[in-house]
Amino acid sequence: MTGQHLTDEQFTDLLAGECPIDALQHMKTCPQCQREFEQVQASIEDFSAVGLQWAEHRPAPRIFTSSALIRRWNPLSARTAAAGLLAAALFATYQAKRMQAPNMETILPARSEAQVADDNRLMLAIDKEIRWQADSPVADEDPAGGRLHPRGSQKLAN
Amino acid sequence: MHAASVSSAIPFVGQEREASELDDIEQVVQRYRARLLRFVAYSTGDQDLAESIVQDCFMKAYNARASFRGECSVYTWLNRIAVNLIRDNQRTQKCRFWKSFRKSALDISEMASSLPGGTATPEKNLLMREQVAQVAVALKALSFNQRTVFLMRFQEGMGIREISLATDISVNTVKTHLYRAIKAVREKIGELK
Repeated sequence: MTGQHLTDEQFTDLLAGECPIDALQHMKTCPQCQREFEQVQASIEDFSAVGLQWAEHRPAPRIFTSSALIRRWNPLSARTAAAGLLAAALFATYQAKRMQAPNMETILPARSEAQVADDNRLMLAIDKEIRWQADSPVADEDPAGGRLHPRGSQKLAN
Repeated sequence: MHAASVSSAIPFVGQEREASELDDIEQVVQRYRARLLRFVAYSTGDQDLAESIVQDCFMKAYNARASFRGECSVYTWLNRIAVNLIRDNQRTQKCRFWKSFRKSALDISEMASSLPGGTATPEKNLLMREQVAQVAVALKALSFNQRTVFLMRFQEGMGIREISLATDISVNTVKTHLYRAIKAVREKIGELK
């Protein structure tokens, strides 16, 4: 002790909960140290009480963890959400198909080489007949092969 | 980050019980949030930041609950995570010049005005508010470690060894920080005379 009152260390020891015997004895006999000690102690306690009261009135935000989410798992709403997702996926697929441009290959069937050859033969025959008619509309004989054209023969017969 | 390495000591008998306590995060939040928020708010001086750190603290504790060895109480463990988060935050905030323009700074006078006066006279209530404000001013002027040790001792009621565990500071250094903090608070309150 320095002089008559508690030193800083003794005061701190008392406040921190350590009880040096000489400091305790002095406290009993010195109203000044006693008053100061009580004042500091009360200030710290009030400071703590103010903080705790403030903290208790602050709203606690929810903490989401995986376990908390599992606890809140609602099968009915999960099924509703799944059904909604499925419906949305189906609708999107349907819309995508509708929006696709028409493809000619899917509309016209594939043609084989034999069909093409048949078509060409038919076209040549038609062309040949048209040309024959344009050259000699009344001729009875085919100038190429000497054979009578059926339509020409009919005309002669009439 | 410090918070990741929250606990790595030898397990003891209470480990199983404490670990199961940590499994129910809602219960842990309900039990410790107010005290932890007070500690972080007084430590940072910023209420929004304190809310954010406390939230983060519970998340970290929950995610790292498997590493909790039970060599201390759950609250000491939470405190340790919070201290590391505050340290991390201070490191990242150091260079930000707008730090002093925080809008969510704690207003201790406003907080004190909401404290019920009980049967005390208005004069005594006023004196109490002034003393509380003086403690806040004194704490603000302390170093981070001094403030942390002071808050842990007088707000959380933690012992010197427990503080040493929570802060990773040696017992002797904890005592030194505590002496300096008390001296500063005592002097500040003495100015009111």
